[in-house]
Amino acid sequence: MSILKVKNVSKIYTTRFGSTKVQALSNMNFTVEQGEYVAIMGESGSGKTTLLNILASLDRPTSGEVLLNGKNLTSIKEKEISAFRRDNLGFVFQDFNLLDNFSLKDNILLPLVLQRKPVAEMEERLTPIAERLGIAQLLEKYPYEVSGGQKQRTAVARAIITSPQLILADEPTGALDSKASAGLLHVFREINRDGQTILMVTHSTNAASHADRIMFIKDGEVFHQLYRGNLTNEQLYARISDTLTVLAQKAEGAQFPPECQFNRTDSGAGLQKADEMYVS
Amino acid sequence: MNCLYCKLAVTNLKNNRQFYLPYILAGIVSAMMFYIMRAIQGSKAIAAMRGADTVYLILTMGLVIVALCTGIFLFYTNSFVMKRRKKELGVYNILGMEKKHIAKVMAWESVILYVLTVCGGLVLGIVFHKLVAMFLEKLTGMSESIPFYVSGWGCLQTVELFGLVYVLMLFYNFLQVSLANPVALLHGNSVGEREPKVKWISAVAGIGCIVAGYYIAVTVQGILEAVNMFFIAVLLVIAGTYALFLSVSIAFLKILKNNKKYYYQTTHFITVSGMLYRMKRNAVGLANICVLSTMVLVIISTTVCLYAGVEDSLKQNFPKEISATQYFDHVPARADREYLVEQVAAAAKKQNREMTDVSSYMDIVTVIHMDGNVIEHYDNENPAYDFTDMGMLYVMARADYEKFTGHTYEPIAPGSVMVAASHLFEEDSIEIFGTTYLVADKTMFPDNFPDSELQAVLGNKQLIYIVVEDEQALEPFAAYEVRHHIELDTDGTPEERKTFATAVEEALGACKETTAFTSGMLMSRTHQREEYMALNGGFLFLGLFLGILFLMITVLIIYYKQTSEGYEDRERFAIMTKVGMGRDVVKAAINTQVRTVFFMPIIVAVLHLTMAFPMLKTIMYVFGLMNTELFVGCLVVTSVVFAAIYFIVFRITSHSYYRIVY
Repeated sequence: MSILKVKNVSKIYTTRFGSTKVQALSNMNFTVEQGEYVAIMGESGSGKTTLLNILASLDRPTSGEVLLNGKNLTSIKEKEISAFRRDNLGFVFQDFNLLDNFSLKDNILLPLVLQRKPVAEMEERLTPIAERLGIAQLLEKYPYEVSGGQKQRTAVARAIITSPQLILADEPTGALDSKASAGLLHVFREINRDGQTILMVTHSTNAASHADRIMFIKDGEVFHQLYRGNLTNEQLYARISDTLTVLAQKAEGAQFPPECQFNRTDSGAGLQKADEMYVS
Repeated sequence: MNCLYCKLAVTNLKNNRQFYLPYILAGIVSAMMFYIMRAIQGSKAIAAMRGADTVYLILTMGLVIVALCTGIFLFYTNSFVMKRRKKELGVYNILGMEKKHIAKVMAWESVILYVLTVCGGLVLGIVFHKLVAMFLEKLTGMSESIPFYVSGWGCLQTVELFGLVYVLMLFYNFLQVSLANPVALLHGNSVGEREPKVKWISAVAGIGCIVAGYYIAVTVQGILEAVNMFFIAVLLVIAGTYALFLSVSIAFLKILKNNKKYYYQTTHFITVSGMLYRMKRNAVGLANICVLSTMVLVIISTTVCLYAGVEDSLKQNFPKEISATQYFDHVPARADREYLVEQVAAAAKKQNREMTDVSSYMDIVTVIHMDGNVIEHYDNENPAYDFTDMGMLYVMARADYEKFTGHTYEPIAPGSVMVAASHLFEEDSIEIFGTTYLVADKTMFPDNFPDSELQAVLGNKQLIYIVVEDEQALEPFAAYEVRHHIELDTDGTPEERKTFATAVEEALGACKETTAFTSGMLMSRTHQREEYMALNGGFLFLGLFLGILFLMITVLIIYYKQTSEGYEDRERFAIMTKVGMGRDVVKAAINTQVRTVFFMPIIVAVLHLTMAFPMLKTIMYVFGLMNTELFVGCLVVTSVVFAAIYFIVFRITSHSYYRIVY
């Protein structure tokens, strides 16, 4: 069952007096299945943040539709959109976006408080999550007192406490050192194993190499996709690096056919095929 | 090269005009006020008016207060604006501008601000000087008019005062910038806020101070006590107010927070935690607003009341137009007394005045100490006595007392006296200076007994009238101050009445030898009116001036608070929106927060005012105002007007707050 379907989505930004038009996304098409762990990679200006904002219902596409669990995001009324976001989506941001005036515990509980859950239930949900993320001892502390890695794990706890359909992560390891980064990606892996669908936007090849599928965006379109198959992290890392190199070397105009999807079971031949296609 | 720094300074000011415009405006108004006051104070017309010394003193007081307040408030807003600019200066530093170059830019900014403020202030001051002067003339009933002129001293001193303040501020800013390193400057805004700790001791102490202050204000008796305790009570309440906003509010919010059932509801969750942080950062600002508001309320309501109550006070203190008193060291003979009254009548005829309601009576007054039914002399030397042990004894003949009160009384047997006091005298006998008398009759004071002021001053129950049968019975007391009073009303214009009063004084003075009185005194209501108008008019003028100044400062503090809070909250609410908070929930939360924080100072200020009422009322007696209803009316009207202005300011500043947050 596709948890997320993006159909022909495009987004055009116009300046206030309509003089300049910027095409941030053009004809985006992809699906995300239940339980998948997807990474989206692309250069700056490729449209990643715009895409994320649209998926997060923080912005509306100029054309096209986004279906979350069959429900059309664009058809949800302004009044209900926040509730929808709160009940169905979880966010992890690069700069954590924790609130300074709440303790870590209160930060994590915030979405539940907004959902008006009773106190007992909130605390019940909190304990196992905090344990699992290794922040159970830090709950009474405040954001300024803990490290970046701990803050990010708090943000992850906040994202998963509502058991959302989909977790959207925007450069989650961007502000973390390598150790904290590794820890976070490990956490993502774990919750993905428990069935959580994750969509992660990232610059970092290392982060992307932990995912099951990597989508490459260039100039507002899905340019290329890579499946893990049976590859290890290191092998996938190499594959991604090569893709990126190839993509970078291909100057403007060079495009892979958009429907160039590769078979999941294909273990190693994926990239070669692309090369072959290009050469010929 | 200087051109570059100057241009940079101008650009900075323009970019930050949201902060600098109110700052400049306030500076201009302060400069204008200072100049006008200085110009008026130095004018010859003030020196020429009746009651000149008092008015001059009042104006000087006003100048000092205006200067001090301007200095403090300019400093306060300066540090405020500097905080926001730290980031900008940090960027300059990192881009390669050395500290000394930054210093040059800041110096140029200061120069520009100074020139704008002082020029604007002086220009407006010169323009409005005549207007304000006319207002003062009207208020105080000055005889001579202050002409339009430019006061050289006024200009000079304004330039000096503001120059001094700006130079000090510049050095302070230099210090701040030179001590900080660029990275710290850059991140100055986003330093993590510590969670406020509850200082239980200061919270309890704060409440204690306020309660103590209130207690003093409410239980004070009599003017001397009121005046003595006034400043103590004020200081206690001010200290308590600061503690209230700093500690008590935080303690209260913490208690709310610990109540999980209350805390974990959507609006409470956001507002309580938001306010905990708001309180700590803004406690001082809120306390300032509260204290300033209270001061505005007190100053304006009291001075307005004093001025509005002038006629009332005059009637209270001078029930008749002219009141003359002659002091004797013996009981004067009837013939002498009648002679004096005749002289007054003769003066009236010469002046062509028609006298009405002429009365004359005699009494003997001395300071005593009363203990139960024993009256003794008040011994100045005796260390056991303090001023609260003082009392007054009046002795009158029955005929005079009947005239005086308008009642008739039974004849009093020899060796007996009638006792009249503020409370019903219990005993059946009374010992006065060693001699015991029987108490034939006991009554309470009439409402219009003389020296009511004295009772207000002493505020104690040791005021007593002893009524004896006739003049002979007065003899035993003749060694003390024997007074003969002549009181009358008259017709005529104010000028005519003044002339008449002088004539009466001269006529009576001429009788001194023949009737053998030791000294005399004459009070004329018309003369007194001029004194009262000068004094109260001066006070009202000062009160309005200072009231407006404080109000302006309060408004500015509010505006700056709201703007800076807007910027802080903007990020918080953006995050909350991303996490799934709807716009209306956000709006509701902001509303509750803004409203509570906004109205706390004024509610506390009105509370202070209410509790200060008894003490203020007593102090008003010093200025002769006894009309309580008028005072209450003034308090209520001032509070309502102030609340209305406060509310308008609230709407305008929250509008700008919402704009920033969204």
